[in-house]
Formats: sequence, structure tokens, C-alpha cells
Amino acid sequence: MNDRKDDGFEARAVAIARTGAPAAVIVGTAAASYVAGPSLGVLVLGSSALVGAIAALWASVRALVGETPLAPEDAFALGAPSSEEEQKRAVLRAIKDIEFERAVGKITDEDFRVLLARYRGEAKRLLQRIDESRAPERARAEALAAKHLLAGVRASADATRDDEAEHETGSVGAEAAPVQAKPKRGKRAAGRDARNARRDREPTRAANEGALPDSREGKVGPVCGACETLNDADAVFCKSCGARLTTETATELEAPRDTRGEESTS
Amino acid sequence: MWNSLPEFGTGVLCAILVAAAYTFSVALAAGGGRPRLLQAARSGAYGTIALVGLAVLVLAYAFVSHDFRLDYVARYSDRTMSTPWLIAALWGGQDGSLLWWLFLTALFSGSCVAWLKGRYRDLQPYVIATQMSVLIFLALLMLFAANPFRTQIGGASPDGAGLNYQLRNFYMIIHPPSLYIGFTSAAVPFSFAIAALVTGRLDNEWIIATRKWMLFSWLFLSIGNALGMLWAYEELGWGGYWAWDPVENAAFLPWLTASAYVHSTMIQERRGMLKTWNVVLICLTFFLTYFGTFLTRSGLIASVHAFAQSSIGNYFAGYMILIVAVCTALILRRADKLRSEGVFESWMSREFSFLMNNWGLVGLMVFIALATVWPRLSEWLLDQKATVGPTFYNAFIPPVALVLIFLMGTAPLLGWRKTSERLFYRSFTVPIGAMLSAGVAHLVLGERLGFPAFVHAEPVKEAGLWRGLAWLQGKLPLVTIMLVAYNFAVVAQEFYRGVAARRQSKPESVATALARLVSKSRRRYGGYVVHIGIAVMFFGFVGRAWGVDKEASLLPGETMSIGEYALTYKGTHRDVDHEKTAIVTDLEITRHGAAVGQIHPARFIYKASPEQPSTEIGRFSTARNDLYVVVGMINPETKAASVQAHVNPLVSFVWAGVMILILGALVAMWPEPSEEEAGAFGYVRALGTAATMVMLSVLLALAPSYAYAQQQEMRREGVVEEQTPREKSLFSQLLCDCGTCPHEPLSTCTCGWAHDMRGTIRAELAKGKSVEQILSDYAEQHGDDAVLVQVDKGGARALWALPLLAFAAGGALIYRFIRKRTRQAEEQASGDADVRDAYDERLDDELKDLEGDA
Repeated sequence: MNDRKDDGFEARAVAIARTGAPAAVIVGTAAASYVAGPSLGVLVLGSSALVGAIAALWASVRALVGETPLAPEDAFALGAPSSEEEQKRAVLRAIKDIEFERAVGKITDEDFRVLLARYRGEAKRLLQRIDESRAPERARAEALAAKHLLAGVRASADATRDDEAEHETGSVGAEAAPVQAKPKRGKRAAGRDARNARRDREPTRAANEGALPDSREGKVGPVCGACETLNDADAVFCKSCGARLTTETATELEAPRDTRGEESTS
Repeated sequence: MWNSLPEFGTGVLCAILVAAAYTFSVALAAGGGRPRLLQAARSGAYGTIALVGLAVLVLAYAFVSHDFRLDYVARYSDRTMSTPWLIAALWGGQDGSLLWWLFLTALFSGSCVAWLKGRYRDLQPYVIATQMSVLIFLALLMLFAANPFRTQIGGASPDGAGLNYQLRNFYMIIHPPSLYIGFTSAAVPFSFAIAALVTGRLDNEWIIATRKWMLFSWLFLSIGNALGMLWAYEELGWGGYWAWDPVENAAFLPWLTASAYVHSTMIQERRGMLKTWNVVLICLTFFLTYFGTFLTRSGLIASVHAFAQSSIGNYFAGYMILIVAVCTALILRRADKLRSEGVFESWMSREFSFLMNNWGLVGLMVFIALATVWPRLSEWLLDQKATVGPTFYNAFIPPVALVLIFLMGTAPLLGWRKTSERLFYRSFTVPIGAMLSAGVAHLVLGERLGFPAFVHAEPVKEAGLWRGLAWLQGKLPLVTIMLVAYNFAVVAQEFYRGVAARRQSKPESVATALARLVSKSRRRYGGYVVHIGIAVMFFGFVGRAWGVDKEASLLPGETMSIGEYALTYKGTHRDVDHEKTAIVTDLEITRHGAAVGQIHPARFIYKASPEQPSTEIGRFSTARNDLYVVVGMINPETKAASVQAHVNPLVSFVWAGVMILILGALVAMWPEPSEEEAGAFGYVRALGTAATMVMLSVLLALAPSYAYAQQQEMRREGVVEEQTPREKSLFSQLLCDCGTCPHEPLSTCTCGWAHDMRGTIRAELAKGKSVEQILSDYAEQHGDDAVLVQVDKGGARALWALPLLAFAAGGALIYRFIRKRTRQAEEQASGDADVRDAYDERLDDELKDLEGDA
């Protein structure tokens, strides 16, 4: 529990330092230069660089030995477009470009058709690859939605649960099979996917190994509020940290601490 | 603690080395898809970069606190220098400039790592590892060969020697950093290329990732070269802005390959071809940034404004060999994945014109690189001293450059794959018409306006090749004007057709259609604006063909005329300040008989170095021409002043062209805010980029022309009449051998020895001695390397074969490539596309989204 608190404090400290440190350095440098001349200003800047270097290298070593949680962008590659996304955008731009060239009469209709076929083929291949690369995330999202419904709202009325399930599985299910059911998926839709997935993320190992089949069978258990481990449906104590599982602690889901077995240090 | 500041600085350099090596290892280990290691590598990269920043700040502290224990601080600063000059002194010498190089490389690595975040996760580890390897090399170099924290052997001196006054020039403050930015930012595209080669992900992914980084690098190389031209024009005092000096060439070479890359990359994006070529171009650009530094710093080639020579050349040579070995091995390993997908279908296609443009640019690069190192090659291989100067370059390069200008205009008119006869006529009618009209107008009106279509060019030698080149040179003004008009017409037509197409499909005003057209296709229209900038620059370059040079020794009250100007020498006065005594000349200018003002060229005698007086130029600028005046020796008794005057037509268009080029690059680079960048940040980034570029442009435009032309002590007598074209051609081939001035050609050198030698040679010509004989005699008396155009004998003839070989080899490669490509069947995806599936609907929707976003 103390480790949790320390982590929370550290996270807050890092967040404050990230926003406050640059401002503090600028103000400190300006003040030092004004009071004691440029030498002191340079000295303040140099000291800040030294502190920054130590902090960054310390963070690096801690990340290396597994003492810090993985950053979300490393855990799930979210928050930035994948290379396929970027390539797809470039191909779409190329299609718009040749449409423009045909409009201004620079290429013949025959050439336009050939080039368009090539680009569309490429774009479709990329869309397929994007779908394939997102399949695990979608599976996780699906599992989360199901688990959330089954574990978090277990006591709710059947009718309410059915309504919610329809709503949730409607959106997630469409993502899982976009070809059949969801034709409109623009850039904004992709961004929405990323945001939804980020919001709903859960431990990768749990998703890959246990949660997905369990959730489909309706056996998903509560998540420990202390260490965020996904437990079996009938668990009373957390299988990881031993904390008692209560309904209060079992409703909230957090980002994973470590998703890779070979890099886990605990 | 500050007693050990030098040790602390060296310690920081050691820490940089250790941190970079650690990050390099962790990044390589992260290559197997280990996110935790990747996170550690990123933090390690930030830590390394912070340490580099610390090293720069430690040196800056040493400068501002006048810590003369450091040898570097003692050599490049003194107690009288103000803080801005002390900071500028950071890159004033070799060791500090290498530290600055390391800092900029680290800064770009940091920006790249921050930008990458979750992007390109497969490439990312190797991108970081490559960038760290560059930092490791630079840290090693500084620790063992160029440590700016080295202490003076004899202990701290009471004061430093001060920054060279030639470097206390506005352009010298911003010209090297700008070039360094161009050089160092080339490491980012290079690291992506290496990552793509290592991982085998060689489709368009890395091309898209590096697009804007490369444009950025290209832009700063352009700005750096332009500032270098301005510096030479303002500072060196010989009346020109480009002398084909090895140092200038070194900065120009990567610009050529970067220019080739930004064009050839489009062929890969659109047609899936030239994958190997693009990788080679990126590697070559990065290699050339180090090759240039190697040339500048190693002392391999003598230069008018070379850096201090030292042993770092060996380190650079080793690193360059490593770059070549690694790149070659990786390219060979990935040869199968680098095969082109498409084929060349017609000579009349855009891809072919891009290919020709690449041929020209890379051919020029090979030619200039070989000619630059020729003196050393000649010594090693032929045991013969040699010097290659402007005459050689000016004879061969303009025709090739004009072919490139023609291709620059032609490429946008051609379609991808092939251009039908109907489209060809439709596209080319107006530009060709404009070109011919400009040619006729020039022929008819040129003479009357003072810009004749043809000029007389004296052949450098009597041989057929030289006569042919001289004939061509005489026609270049007309050809250049026609090609400039052609390019203008092409771009105007492109804008017109784009706006017309938009207005056909949507009811928009011309201004709205134009704005939206550009904002939707920034790269295309930004590129067109860059083309206009280059065309305008060429309009400025051709002005040199109508230039007039004259020198005279004037007594107060005497007048000399040059072109439409008359200069009346009114006398001199002295200005004394705390650092120098300035002997200022007052010259009254009349233009077409009307007084237009005064200029005040001067000689500065610094208290710190009275034995090295420098000269400030006087310049009177109009859109039509520049009157550029340098004053040499002033006799203290008679007040007789040696005046060298040049009328340089259309020079202002060169600087205007640079502005337009920057503007165009800015449009092409304008960031496209994406949803992932949370809107506001994207716009902030865009504004930041724009502000930086605009600031640089304004600095370029409004920079004070406070400059010093470095000159040696001169002795002059009598009045010199204007040179004949024959004399001018001959003088431009002979180097001054007085032993004190920096071996400039007799045509531009203003020292007394050169003056006397010109008189001697003039007398020999009058006696009927042939040019060949004079060249031969001069080489015999002063050495082969005193003749810029090689004496045509023995192995030296190989130099003449270089240009032809460089271009012939490129042509043969292209021919082979096209023959091979056209034999292969094109892999087409048309079969898939004919059958519509659900992905087609998604695709249509995304295309509609794209329309809405743009």
C-alpha cells in the first residue's frame, strides 16, 4: 500500500515538475542574470541542465529495471497514429492529388484509372493491416465492456443490463467487424477508437490470457483496487497483493503497471 | 569547485560519452519489441541531450566569466567583448564549433525522440541508436582531439586574444549556425533510413516519416548557403558572392543531394520506384555533411577562408569510412526489399523528368566534389601540384545548371506515367510561348536597356572545347532570361489551372479558391514558389554577365566613371573609437549625371592587430544594379586612394530569390495539425515554425551591412584602365603569388604585387605573346598551382575529363535502369479494385473526411 502511495506522489511530482520546472528555470535564470549578471544566469541554466540530466538518466535506469510503470504510449502505442495510419493518409492524399491532376487536365482518364486502382489497392491493404493490428485491442475492449457489465453491474436489473450491453457491444462489436457493419470510419473515428481504447485499457496479460474467454463465459472477477490485478470471479482476496476485494475497490479500472512477463521485476 | 571548472567540463564530455553509449545499447536491445527498454532508451536520450546542454553552458560560463585558463576562451575572447559577442565566440573557433555541432545534433535528436513518442515503434529503437552513435562519435572527437576545455600550458593569461575581427560580422554570427542546423538536422532522416534498412521496413513508411525533416534540413542548408553568399559579398571585398572556394563547395554539396532527394522521394511515393536511390541519397547527404566538415577542418584543401587545421581530419576520415561501410552493407543486405515496384512507361512522364533532374543534381555534386579534391588527388596520383578555381567551374557548371532550370519548369507540366500528345500541347503551349516571347523581347530591347542578349566571352584556351564553351557562355544571358520566363509561365499556369478547376467545382471567389488551393496542397504549391525563388535567383546570377569592373588611383577631387555612375573622390577623414581607427573615404556618386548620394568605403586599423588592416566596402544598391566600391591603400601624404569599383547588375534579385525560396519552403513545411496533436498544439507548433522562418527572412533582409573586407597591405601606383575581355579572362586564371595575400586570382586581388603583375602581363600581351605562352611561363615561374586552369599536359588532362565522366556515368546508369525497368511487368492492383468490397466504402468515406479536413 505504501508503494502505491509513493507511486502516486511520484507521479504527481513528475507532473508538477514537467509543467513547473521550465517556468521556474526561465524565471530563475532571468532573476539571476538581472541581479548578478549573465554569469549567474548561465550558472542557473547549467545547474538546471545537470538536474534534468540526472533526473532523465535516473528515470531511464528505473524504467530499465522495471521500477516505473510503462508509459501508455509504450504499453499500447496509443496517442499517436500508427505507421499504417500515416501511410494510409499519404495514400489518400495521393488519391486526392491524382483526382486534382485529372481535374486540371494533367493526366488522361486512362492513366487516372490505372493510378487510382493502384492507390486504392494500396489503401485497402493498409486498412486491412490497421484492422489486423487493432484486433487485440478490440478484443480487450470487448472483454472490458463485457466484464464491466457482468462484474460491475451484476446487481443491476436484467433489463438495464440488457440495454447497456446492447449499447456497448454495439459499438465494440462494430469495431471488431468493421467491414460488415461500420462503413463510416474517418480520421476522427480512428481518433475516437484510440480514445475509447485508452479509456478502457486493462492489463495486457490478463486480457490476452484470461479475461477474454472468461468474459465471454460471464466469469470475469473483480479488479483489485490496490494493485489493479484482475481476479477470478469468485475471489475474496486479491491473488497478487492479498488485499480484501470489496465492491468499492472492484469497480474502477486503471492503466496496467507492467504488461510483459519477461520484464516484470516483482 | 570553480577552481576545477576545466576538469568539470571535460568530465561532462566523458559523461556524454557514457550516457550516449548506454542509450545506444539500450535502444539496440529495445529493437526486439520491448517497450520497457524503449522507454528507458528515450529517457536515456533526454539525459544525454541535457548533458550536452550542460557542456555548452559550462563553456558559455567560462566565456562570460573570462576564465582564461581555458585555451579556447583565451584564443577567442577578451575582456572588452560584450556578452552577445562572448556567446557568439562559442562557435568562433574549431573546438567550440564542434561542441555547438554536438549540441545541435543533440537538440535534433531530442526533438525527434519527443516527436516519435508512440509513432513508428518498430523503427524507433534504431532511430535512437543511430542518433546516439552520432553523438558518441562527436563526444569521442571532442575528448581526444578537440576539447574546448583544454587548459593553457602556461596557465591563465591576464587577457585573451579576442575574436577575429573578420568574424565580428552580423552574417558570421548567423551564417555558421544556420549551416550547422542544416548539417545536423540531416542526421534525423539518415537515422530513419538506417532504421528502415535494419528492420527491412522499406516501403513508404520511412519516406513519410522523414519528409518534413528533410525539407527542414534542405531549407536551412539553403539559408546557410545564402548567408554565406551575403557574407562573401559584404566581407571579402572582391565584388562577387560565390567563388567556388572549397569551403563554399563543402556546404553546397549536401544541398544538391538533399534537393535531389526531395524530388526523387515523390517518385517512390507515387510509383513505388527508386527505393534504393532514395536510401542512397539520404546516406549521401549525411555523408556529405561530414565530408564538408572534413574538407574544412582537416586542412586537406587550401581555402581562402579555411578553418584552423588540426588532426581531427583523421577522426572524420575514419567516421566517413564507417558510414560508407555500414550503409553499403545494409543496402546490399536489403537489396531484395529495395526493388522497384513500377516501371518507366514513357520519356514524357514526370518520373522521367525527376530522374533527369536527379541526374543533373547528383552529377553536379560528383563533379564539384571531384574538382574540389582535385588538387590533392593530383598531388597523390600524378605528383603534380594543381589548383582549381572559378574559371573551371564557371565554364562547365552554368550550362548544366540551365538544363536543370529547364527541367525544373518542365516536370510540373508532365503527368505521372505518360503525357499524351493532346495534354502535351495543352500544357506546353503557354510556357513555350512565354519563353519565346521573352527571348524575342530580350533580343529587341536588351541592348537598348543595357542588358544585351549576347555578350562576348573570351575562350580560356585556344582548344576547340574551350572555344565551344566560350561561344555558349556568350549566349547564356539570352538562354537564362528565356528559361526564367518559362519557369514563371509554368508556375503562373499551374496556379491558374488549379484555381480554375476549383472554381468549376465550387462557387468560390478567386482569392478564396487560391487560398484553399494552396492550403490543400501545401507541398505542391510551396514547391512551385520555391521554383520561382530559384528562377529569380538565376535572373540575379545572369547579371554578372553585364558586370563592369574598374580600378583607379584617385587624388582628391578626381573622378572616375564606371557604367552609368561617376565617382568623385572628395577626400578622407578619421574616426577613432576604443577598438580601432577608421580611415573613411568620401566618394560622391552621380548616376546618369545626377547626384544620388555618397558612399564611404573605409580602412579599419584595429588596436589589437594593427598589422592587419581591414577594409569596409561601400555599396550603393538599386533594383537594377549595385555599385560596389573597395578602397585599398591611401597615401597619407598625397591622399591618393586606390579605388576598385564594380557595377554588379541585378544582384538584388539574388537576395529577393532567396526570400521567395524561404517563403515557398515555409508553405511546403507548414504543419498539418492532426487530431492527435490536440488542435492547439499543432497550431502553436505551426506558429513557432512560421515565426522562426519569418524572423530569419527578416534578418536576412534587414541585416545591417556592417561588414569588413579583409585585405592585406597594398601598394599601388598610377591609373589602371579597364581590362579588355582577353585580359580579364587571363587574369582570372592566374593566382597572386605575393606570399602575403590569400592567393586570390589576379582579376580580383587588390594587393600591390598583383597590380604590378597585371601591368607586366599587359605589356607581354601588347608585345604579341599568346595567352598559352603566358600561362605556361607563369606556371614555370610560380608553380603549376599558381594557374587556376590547368596547363594542358600529362595527367592533368584528366581534370578536363571529370565533368564529362561524371555526367556520362550518371547517364549510363539511368539508361540501364530504365531499360531494366521497362522490361519488367508492372505489378498492378487493378484486379482487386475492380471488385468492390466493404473496404471501398470505408475508403470513400475517408476520402470525404479528407476533403472536409482540408
